[in-house]
Amino acid sequence: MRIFVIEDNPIYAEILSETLNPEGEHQVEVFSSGKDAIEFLKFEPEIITLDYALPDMDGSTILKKINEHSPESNVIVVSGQEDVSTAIQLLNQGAYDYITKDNETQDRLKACVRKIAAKLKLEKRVHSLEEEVTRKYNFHDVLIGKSKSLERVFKLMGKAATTNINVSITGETGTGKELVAKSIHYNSKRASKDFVAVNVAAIPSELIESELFGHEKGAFTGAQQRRIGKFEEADGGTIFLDEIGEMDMNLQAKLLRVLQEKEVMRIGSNQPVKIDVRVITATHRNLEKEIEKGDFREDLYFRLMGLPIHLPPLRERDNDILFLSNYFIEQSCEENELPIKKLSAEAQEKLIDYNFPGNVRELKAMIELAVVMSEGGVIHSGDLKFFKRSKPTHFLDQEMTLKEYNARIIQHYLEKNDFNILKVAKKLDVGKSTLYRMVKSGELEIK
Amino acid sequence: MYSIKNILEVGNGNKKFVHKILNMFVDEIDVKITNLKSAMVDYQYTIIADITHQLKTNMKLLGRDELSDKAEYIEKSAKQEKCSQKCFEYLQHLIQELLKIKKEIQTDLKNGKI
Repeated sequence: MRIFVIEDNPIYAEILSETLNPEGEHQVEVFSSGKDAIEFLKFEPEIITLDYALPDMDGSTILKKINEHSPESNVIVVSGQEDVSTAIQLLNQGAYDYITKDNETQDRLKACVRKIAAKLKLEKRVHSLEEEVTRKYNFHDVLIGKSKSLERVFKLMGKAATTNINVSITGETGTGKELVAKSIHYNSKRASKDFVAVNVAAIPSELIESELFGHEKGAFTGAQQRRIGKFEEADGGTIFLDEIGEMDMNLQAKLLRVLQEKEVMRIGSNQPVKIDVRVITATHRNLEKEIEKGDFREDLYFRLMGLPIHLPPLRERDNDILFLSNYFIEQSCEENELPIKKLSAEAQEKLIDYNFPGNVRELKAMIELAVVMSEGGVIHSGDLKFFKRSKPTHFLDQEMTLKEYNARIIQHYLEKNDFNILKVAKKLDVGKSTLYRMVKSGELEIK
Repeated sequence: MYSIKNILEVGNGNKKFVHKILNMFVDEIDVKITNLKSAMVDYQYTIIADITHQLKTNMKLLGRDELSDKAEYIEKSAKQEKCSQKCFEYLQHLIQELLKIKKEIQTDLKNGKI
């Protein structure tokens, strides 16, 4: 550490230098006047010990200059005066500690330096972790791919990260909605504050209001303590409301008020709390349709929409399936300490033909399993196990016979109607005997 | 009379460090006394306050707390730009004691007593 000792008494300056640096591991520089020290503040020492009573200026004036030129420095005022009001004034001005010159000065100074060193170590660690998080949430590390549809998403993410606009993310399950939300947050000016994620669908409706807005002690049965809500927790940062389409109408009205007023009211309180939160929402639902059905407020929709980002499903991302597959193979081989494997031509074909209803999440799981299960350096089509039944993008692309199409349509209705044959026959305007016959012949499945 | 206990503590028993501090004291004390005497004659309170402020700490370091208290009294008086009879008596006593301490340190250093 670089330490400045600002002390006009040469003997005491020597004593302080020895106390601060007994092992000689720090760089200690002594200044006998405030003026001399101020000139060197550009070197931003981690610690400064400051004699309050210097011949050329008082401690308060120097402290002001230190705050201006080297605000990160920890200033320990070492004074011959036991004046409480001066001590309070200097501590209010930002001094780290105030120590009087007496027999205990050395011990207190050593303790102070130990605390500062620990604090600096922690700050350094936090800083490096923050950098790591930012690196981790680099746009191109979050969404892997080279497709044009993804390029459009990157552009929108960039816009979102450099502005403060609310963002609404849509996309099928497994497309990476939460990762995109996090990436926008950690690449924005709000990165040093919290990213708070709330899955609206995962919290019981009776708890969600308290979860989002907090509550006061005794606000309801079981509220034994005051609790800060997620919005307050995210103050200065970002709140990510996942599955917003699942929010009930009553809560939607309350959320709208929060967004309009930029303040929350804890349950059981009538004191609004000002908040500065960026809201990112995500849903797999079509909110416009929900509005038409009367299940989602239009005014809230417009408040939340902000910058809409649609994450394309994997099947619509050109050659990203193979690009991502190779990326996951490499990652998985590295994690499992295996030599890098390759996909056979048939395996590549199989992957391209599949429609990935579970999107990237499904592909990743499939590849990870294939890497472990495959023998040798090649992953064959047989090593690729699909987790979900493939649902072709276009029903008519399957090139089935009319008879097969009929069976597929009827099967779909049966599944949707709890295999109630009478109900399905009525809906599709076909005879029930036709359906029974198809079941008997094995064209239809009844569970 | 003086004590090196406090200095030894700071220097973790390092004799070289003790010698360094004592030599610094011996080297600067004459100038301090001369300046103090001339400031007394000219009633230069700021100089009196600055010097006694330093002596207050140094005396404590050398285990002479009663001299440190006297230096503090003089410093406070000088800051208020007044020096009573008591203040002058303290000053004279302080100067006499400083000279004695200096002599004692010089002898001890010369005889290798420290």
